[in-house]
Amino acid sequence: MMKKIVISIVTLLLFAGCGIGNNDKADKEMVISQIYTLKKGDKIVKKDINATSVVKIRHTDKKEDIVVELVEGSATIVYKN
Amino acid sequence: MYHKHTYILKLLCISLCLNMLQAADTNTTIRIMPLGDSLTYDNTYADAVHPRPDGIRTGYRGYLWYMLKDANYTADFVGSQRAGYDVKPPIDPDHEGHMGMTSHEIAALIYDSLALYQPDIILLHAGTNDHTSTPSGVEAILNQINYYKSTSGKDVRVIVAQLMARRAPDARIDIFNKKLKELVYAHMLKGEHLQLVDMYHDASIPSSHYVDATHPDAYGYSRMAAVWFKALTSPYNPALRSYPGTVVSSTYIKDIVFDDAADTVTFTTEIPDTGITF
Repeated sequence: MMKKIVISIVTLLLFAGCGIGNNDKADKEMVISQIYTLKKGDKIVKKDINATSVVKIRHTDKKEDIVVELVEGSATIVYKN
Repeated sequence: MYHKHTYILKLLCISLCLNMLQAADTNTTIRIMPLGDSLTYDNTYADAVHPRPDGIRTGYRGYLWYMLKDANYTADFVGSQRAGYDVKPPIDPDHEGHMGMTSHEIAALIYDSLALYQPDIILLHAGTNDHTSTPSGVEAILNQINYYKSTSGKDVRVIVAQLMARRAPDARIDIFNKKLKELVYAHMLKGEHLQLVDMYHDASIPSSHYVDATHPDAYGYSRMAAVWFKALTSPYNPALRSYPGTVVSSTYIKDIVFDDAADTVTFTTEIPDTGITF
């Protein structure tokens, strides 16, 4: 019985250490002309605050997904976690 | 006794049916106000010397009326002006076209007509007589429409036309139309029920189809009517029009394309310093 408990605790600790169960998405640097699908709450920020960055955004009514393409400059996607 | 009751019952049924028909008609009839200047009234420079009777002047309104009838679109043209009441087949001659007026002059008088005729949809083509590249008069009209909406509680859909071309190229109209597009989008992004039509390119009236420097002939008016007709009968989703304004200020937006059939809006925008949150 004790052995089973110890094995369970060790397994849980291992999973936690490996990051299993963590759904956090890392920020992503956008590439020009590449298409990205974002969700409500996600954010786009300029990489260089002093430069102009332009994106093309497509939204479909009553759909959560938003399609974004970087047209000019540089930007980063900050996912809502 | 039985026959008397049956008779009364029949009368009640007929009365109920008539009431239902009337209600259905009220529900489906769209009150459309053609609003503008001589291009709405149908007035040419020659009419200043030898005026045609008002009863035969229809401009684009006549063609539009026939197109709507053919499409079983139940419309009621409304406005303080009447022209075209003698043509056959008959059209609804009511409209709000004021010949020779600038858009500022139209703005000054439009509120009373809105309150009186309570349109559901306005077809706005104004600014031809402004002879300027700034659509401030059209903005004054839109502000009056907003004022009417706020005082009456009634929603109105406004279809705004970029100015149609003159017979000879006019650089002022190009600039006017560009600024008008920006103006309409800025209002649209605030949630106003606006729609923009490109009368300049979509009507594309050849220079040979003008009766003077400004006014088209019958073919030209039929082209204008086709542009209005398409806007009136195409799907219209107001929620799509306000969406870009919910994620970014209109000052950053460079271009917007609405596809009502696909329920999609695609817009190009600069990213503000604060970013864009969806």
